Amino acid sequence: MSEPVADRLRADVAVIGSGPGGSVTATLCAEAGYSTLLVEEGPDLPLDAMAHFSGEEILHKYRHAGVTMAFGNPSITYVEGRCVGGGSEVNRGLYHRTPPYVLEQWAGSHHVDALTPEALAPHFEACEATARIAALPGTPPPLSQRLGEGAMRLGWDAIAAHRLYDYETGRKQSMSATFVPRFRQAGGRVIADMRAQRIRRINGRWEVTARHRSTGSVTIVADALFVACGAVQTPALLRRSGIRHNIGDSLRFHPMLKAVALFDTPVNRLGDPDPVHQIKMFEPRFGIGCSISSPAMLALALAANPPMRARIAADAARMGLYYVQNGTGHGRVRTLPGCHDPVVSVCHEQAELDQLYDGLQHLIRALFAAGAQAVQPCMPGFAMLRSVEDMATLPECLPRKSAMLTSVHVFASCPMGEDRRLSATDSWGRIHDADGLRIADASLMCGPTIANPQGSVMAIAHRNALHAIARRFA
Amino acid sequence: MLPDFTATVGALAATVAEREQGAGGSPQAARDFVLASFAAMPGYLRPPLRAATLFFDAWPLPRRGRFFHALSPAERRAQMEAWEAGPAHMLMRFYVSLALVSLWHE
Ligand SMILES: Cc1cc2nc3c(=O)[nH]c(=O)nc-3n(C[C@H](O)[C@H](O)[C@H](O)COP(=O)(O)OP(=O)(O)OC[C@H]3O[C@@H](n4cnc5c(N)ncnc54)[C@H](O)[C@@H]3O)c2cc1C
Repeated sequence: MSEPVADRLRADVAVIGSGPGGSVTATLCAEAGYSTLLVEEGPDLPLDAMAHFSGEEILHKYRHAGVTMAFGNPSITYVEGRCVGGGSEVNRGLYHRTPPYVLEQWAGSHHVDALTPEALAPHFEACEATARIAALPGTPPPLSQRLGEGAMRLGWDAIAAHRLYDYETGRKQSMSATFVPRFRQAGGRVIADMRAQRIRRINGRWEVTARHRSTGSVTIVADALFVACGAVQTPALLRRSGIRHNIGDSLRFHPMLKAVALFDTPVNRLGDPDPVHQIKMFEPRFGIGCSISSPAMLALALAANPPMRARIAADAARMGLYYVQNGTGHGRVRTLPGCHDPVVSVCHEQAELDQLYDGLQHLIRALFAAGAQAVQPCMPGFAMLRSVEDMATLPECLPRKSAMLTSVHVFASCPMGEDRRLSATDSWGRIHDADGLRIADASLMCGPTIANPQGSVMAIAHRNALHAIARRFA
Repeated sequence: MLPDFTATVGALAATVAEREQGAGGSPQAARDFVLASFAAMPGYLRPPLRAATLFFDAWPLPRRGRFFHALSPAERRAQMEAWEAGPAHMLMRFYVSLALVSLWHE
């Protein structure tokens, strides 16, 4: 049980949510000399409190133990972190800066000021100086290399992605290992196990009504407030608090389809570093990469494919799990009266689903080119494929009923920009007409980041926090 | 006797465990993992899922005179496989997926 806290707290700045967006923002505010509270609904657990991608980690560090769904045809099962550090604690830390064409698209579609690669570069550099990124030293594990080899044989480009990872110490560069200690060193205070329920403006200050696990009801009064609860919970909190203009209307994902390849030789050895190869040349239509391929993750992916699953016991070392993802799915976040948890719905454009399915076929081709003896698309009703020729038996388009879409990336539910018809905040995360209330997380993106999003979330939070501090949060 | 949610989850986890050749986890740990995941799920999903689970526990009563959780392992397996191939496949996939994570984690 966490330490009780006072039932009334006062700070210059309160930041709700301690994921990459909230941690970066809170650190800069504390270092600028403001008394700053960083409020987190989940527990404060050491990075290595439990094995990465274990059932225990899922129960303790994931929201709803990983059972969260956007309802649609097809639905998307998505996961989020819920602990000090948010998603950065449970993710793989694959790292990219926002692709320049994505920034250009956002600046154009939502009229975001000063969002160029050059303007963002110092913010990326500043974040990368604390949460360091590195290339895998030495050769990537065989599971990863196989994807690279398959791509090469087909004349495609594959890259080995950098990660937010310190390969010398073998430690992930999560928020609890990087920005949160820096925040504490600057005098900031983290309060874990406390959920913000509502916010309101009263007497020129922000009042947050929260519930702490030990203390019960707590009121926080702050001069400046940042909401950084992640792309689903931020719109939920704002809508519960009566703030609704373009809030929660445009949630986006990176839905994935997966396939398991069975190779002739071992590719998946216990203790191998995480795979890092990605095929990015087809983006934004789709991107391809490698997934964690522990027996538990293989079994989960193959839940609807018993024949391939039956081989895990004997052949897990020869099996690799791979994904293809794109930006299909346009979601909405809504709160229901008397209901604690928001309801998320999603609809798809056929063209985007077609591109994702085309991506799955590219992935299967790459795996056979890499020497796979069999490839199993991870969907009910899909047979195990023994050769590229067997691909002729695949359905013509993705069957919506059986598509098992999963996503670990959510964003864009409260986009920034000067175009008020589309955006929830201005170009700097300030909610339109809300007395300086700011958003500081993945909600602000104007669409899918296409690349892995954590770098973008941190850099944009860094840019916006400096902007807010320079204006004394006006 | 009434349908029993915990016993049904335990019976489903045990059936998955029995089928899953080579997985090192115990059926009890799988049951506990499924129950803990259920407890953490969004509030609006729990009541319908619990109701559906109890309904399936009672399903074999008219024909076999026993709840699903009280059937023999062989009968449970046959019943579960029938559900997996029919309209209950989504509910079954939900339970099977969670049980698999726990069973294969060991
Ligand atoms: C399994 C997984 C793998 C991933 N892999 C990668 C990867 O390899 N590379 C990459 O770039 N990205 C990856 N991501 C995505 C990345 O982690 C997210 O984009 C990033 O964490 C988003 O940051 P955020 O600040 O927007 O929100 P989050 O990280 O979601 O943090 C929000 C925090 O706010 C807290 N909160 C929510 N509501 C409240 C409330 N009412 N009161 C108090 N606190 C609240 C939450 O508990 C959470 O801790 C992955 C994510 C997951 C889940």
